[in-house]
Amino acid sequence: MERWELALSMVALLSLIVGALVTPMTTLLGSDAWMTLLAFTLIVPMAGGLVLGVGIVGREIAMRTAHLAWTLEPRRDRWLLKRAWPVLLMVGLPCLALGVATGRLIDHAGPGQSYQLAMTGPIVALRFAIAFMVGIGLGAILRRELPALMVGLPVMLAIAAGIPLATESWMRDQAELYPHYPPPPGVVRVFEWGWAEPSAAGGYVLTEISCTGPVSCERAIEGLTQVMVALPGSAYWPYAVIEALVTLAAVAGFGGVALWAISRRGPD
Amino acid sequence: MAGPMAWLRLAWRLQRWEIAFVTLACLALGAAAAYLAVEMRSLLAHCNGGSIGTIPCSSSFVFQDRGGTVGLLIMLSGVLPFAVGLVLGVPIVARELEHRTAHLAWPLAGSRLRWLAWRMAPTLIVAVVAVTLPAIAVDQMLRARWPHDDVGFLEYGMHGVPLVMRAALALGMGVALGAVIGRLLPALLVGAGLSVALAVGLNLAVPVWVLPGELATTTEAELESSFDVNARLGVRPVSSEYRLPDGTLISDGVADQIITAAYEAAGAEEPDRSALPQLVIHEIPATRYADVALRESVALAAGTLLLAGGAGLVVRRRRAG
Repeated sequence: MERWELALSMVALLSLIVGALVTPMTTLLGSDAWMTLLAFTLIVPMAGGLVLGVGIVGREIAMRTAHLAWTLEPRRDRWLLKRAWPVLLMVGLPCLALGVATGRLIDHAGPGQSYQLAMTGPIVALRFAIAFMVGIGLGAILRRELPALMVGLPVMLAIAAGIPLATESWMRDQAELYPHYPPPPGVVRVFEWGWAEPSAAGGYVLTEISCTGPVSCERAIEGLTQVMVALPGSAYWPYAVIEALVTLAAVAGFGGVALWAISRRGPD
Repeated sequence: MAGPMAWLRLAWRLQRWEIAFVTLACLALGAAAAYLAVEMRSLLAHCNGGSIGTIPCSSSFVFQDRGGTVGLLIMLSGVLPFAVGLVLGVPIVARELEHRTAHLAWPLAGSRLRWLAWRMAPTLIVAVVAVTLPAIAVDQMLRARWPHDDVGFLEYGMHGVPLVMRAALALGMGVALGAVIGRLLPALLVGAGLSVALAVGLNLAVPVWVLPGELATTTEAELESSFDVNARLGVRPVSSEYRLPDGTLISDGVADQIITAAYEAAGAEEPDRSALPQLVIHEIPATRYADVALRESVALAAGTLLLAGGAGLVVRRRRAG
């Protein structure tokens, strides 16, 4: 029923997986190509989830095939589940693989590069799941594919921007100081760069630099170490738990709305 | 036969969600860009050559905290014409085919081509009018952000006439894709992928609209002697090469070898720079923006007509079911 959407999503995801695996072996790692690839890693699972989601209920109602589909299945909630889980599985698994592949790519690119946590690991698949549920819910309420997709886009943008914004202060609290060289392994986000002096405890203390010109700036950083304020790799999993909770909320909220819409309202 | 008003009403009835969404998105972007343009002009006007608090009276200082918002609006402006074109264009044929209403609509119109023309025309008008507002507003925002410079080719394709023409082309592409694929969401997905390629391609194709004789050249020495960092803001570099002191043009690789050899021969001293190959940049001056935009617009209008013609051919031969 959704072979076009599934095929296009799969082709896009597989292309990204191959790109993420091949890029570290080529000179592209030194260019902006890998950053473009990561940007698409953020966009494709969410866009694919929305497109596939709105089709589940919205298309059946818009095409007036819901009458038949819902009559053939004794319970509408079971019908929804039967329609949703194969898609979730078929696209969710490649999304997981994409998260692993981009993780490798980011490891090769090194720390200090700007990227978002949602571009790597299982969060890639979680974002697909959130978008899929948003699509199902909106398709069931608006009962048409394109309007549901158009409303879904800003909703997903709000969710994608809202999670990092809501967790920003928590992430700042988890941040640590690392020397710029040698690059620390496993850093998942760099907040800022600065200069620091060694502390008595063996770490670093960030120092405020005040200078007026190149010469005075050179003098001001004499004896200091360039450092980065960065999120350690260990913070990824607590963040993934937050994303998982948002996913559960989306499943409960938008799934509940879809169930309510298809069981209370008629197919026309 | 139904008149233009009837077709306009029909377009609204069939695509009211899409038209409302597109209008809202264009109004929001246009209003945000217009607000920023007015605000930045007002800030600079109140500066009176002095300073605002501790901030010196120069656009680069006064506007520095607005850079992020300006950048975001420009990025959205780059996406907008393709989104508008696809959202309005794809459903025209795809929805009729998908919902199997083409069976009824095409025979009722008398001619399938006339049906397509009457369905496309109001939608094209809506797309062009809707995108014109943010196109003007973003253009004014850019001019307000760099009030003392010719913005020319800066953020080309994301403001002004090129933005409107991209929406028309995307609409033509959307209609053609909808007619070929015959399904709404898959056609939208393919259209989104093609839009990325089209946006990149159109940006790379800018030098095509200028004859080689119309290009200006800037030398390395001219670049180094200029103190105005924004002087080349609106210039579009096309290519670069090296020129020997006798005027002979050479490739980057050969120039690199000559420069390396000269530095090695000079040892710790600075080699005589007048004897070294000079970098020459071929570029489109900012003043040629209007010419380039006009030529590109003609090409994009022709492209839109071609796509509409292609969609017409498909509609004519396609089975309605």
